Amino acid sequence: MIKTGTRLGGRYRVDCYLASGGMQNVYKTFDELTESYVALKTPQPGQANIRFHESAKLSARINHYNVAKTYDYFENDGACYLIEELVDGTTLEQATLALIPQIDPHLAAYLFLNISKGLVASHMAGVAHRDLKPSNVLVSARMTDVKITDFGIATITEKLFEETIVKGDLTRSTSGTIKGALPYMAPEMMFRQKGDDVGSEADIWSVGAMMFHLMTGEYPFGEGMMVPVNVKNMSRIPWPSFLTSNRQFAPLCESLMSIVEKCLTYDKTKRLSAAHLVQQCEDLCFNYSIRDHGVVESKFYSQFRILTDKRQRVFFHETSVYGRFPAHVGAEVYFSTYPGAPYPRAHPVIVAKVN
Amino acid sequence: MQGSIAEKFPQMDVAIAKIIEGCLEHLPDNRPKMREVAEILAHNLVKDRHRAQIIKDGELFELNATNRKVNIRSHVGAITIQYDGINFIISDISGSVFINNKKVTGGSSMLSACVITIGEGNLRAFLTFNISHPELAA
Repeated sequence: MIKTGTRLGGRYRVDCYLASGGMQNVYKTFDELTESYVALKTPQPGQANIRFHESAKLSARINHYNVAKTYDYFENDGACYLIEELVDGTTLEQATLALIPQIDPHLAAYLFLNISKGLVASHMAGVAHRDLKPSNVLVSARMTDVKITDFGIATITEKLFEETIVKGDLTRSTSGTIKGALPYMAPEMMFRQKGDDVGSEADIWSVGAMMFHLMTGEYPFGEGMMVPVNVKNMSRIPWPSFLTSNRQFAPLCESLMSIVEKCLTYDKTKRLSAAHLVQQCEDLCFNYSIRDHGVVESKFYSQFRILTDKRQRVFFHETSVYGRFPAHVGAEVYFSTYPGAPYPRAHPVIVAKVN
Repeated sequence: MQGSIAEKFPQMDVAIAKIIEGCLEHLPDNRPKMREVAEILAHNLVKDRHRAQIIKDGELFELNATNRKVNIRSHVGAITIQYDGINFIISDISGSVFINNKKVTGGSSMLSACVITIGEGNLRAFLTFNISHPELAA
């Protein structure tokens, strides 16, 4: 662990530890030259440094609003460091499924579009991610920023994949990194042989699997060692009925489901390209506005009233509730707000997970 | 500069020609803000590529370049919305119609996402309106 105040690379002063990824530690760091905060990443002890520089060069090629920008790379006393744009927020995983059973279709469309745009830029730069998952997408506190991260680390993960294939079967690996990647991994990557080339099409499968997970709360092919079995047998879980049971949300859900299906095409030559994926997402009719949080305090026939965290009252009709759980008095809810009288109107409303 | 671009390039969209002419004004105060320039260019470059969906009691109404007008009725009023290739405009209303709780009149533009309320009191009908987000390039 790097101590607060440590100065590295002649200009970076470590402010605090932020998080650990599968293979690296991340620190909030002050860049004294530009007088701005950045993210400093360094491989965890025991992780190979060999390809860190190569991966930094690859990720630095990508310049897009939806990709966390790589600014710098340096080595110091045998350790290597990567400086990346700091996203003041959390991972998509923590911002969504850690709190709610599934995301609503408007948020899904917003995320799908933004992630796809980041993918187009990376694919146009000749860089495939190959380890796309909700923990590799960063979102700002109110999700105004959506940025794919860890392109570099994905390259190192690739090395791990290669080594695992040499030793035996990728699908039998006990590595935590590989297990974490499996639910979103394209079949051509999962069942590849040594020397097989895995291209950018794998990212399209991964974004499809990721959106399936976010929209349903379930992994499309299950978890752990069941994933390769289910992928091999083409045994994906069906879409839950709640996606289309509420007619208020059904048209958007159906459009999203259709795009996800195209991403999860087994024949990689028939899968959507990232550019086509963006076009299809741009065609979705959705609204993304900041989500608020509150508790349902009362119900009158089919109308509910929420007391928000800011102690304001908001009402919603039961048809605005989307997802696995129905609304009830006492439920924690996340929602967007529209002006209304006598109270603002919440739509859509998602009932939170009960912890 | 007024008129010179439009004259030289008669096939150019009038709004774009005008904003370029504005950029070339000798007096800095007469030049448009960059935000206005970006808005006009963006609007025109994605002309006719928008879609809008309106949902009323689970029924879907769609507006796009091939279906430019919808009329939605409830038993207490009605709203007609038209797509001109850039904006979605309320072309006609009957009864009381509210957009995000503000009473509207014919001729106003729709917001990119809003709740339309037709009528007042217990008989009001709620509609959701959302548009797509076409862009030039990713």
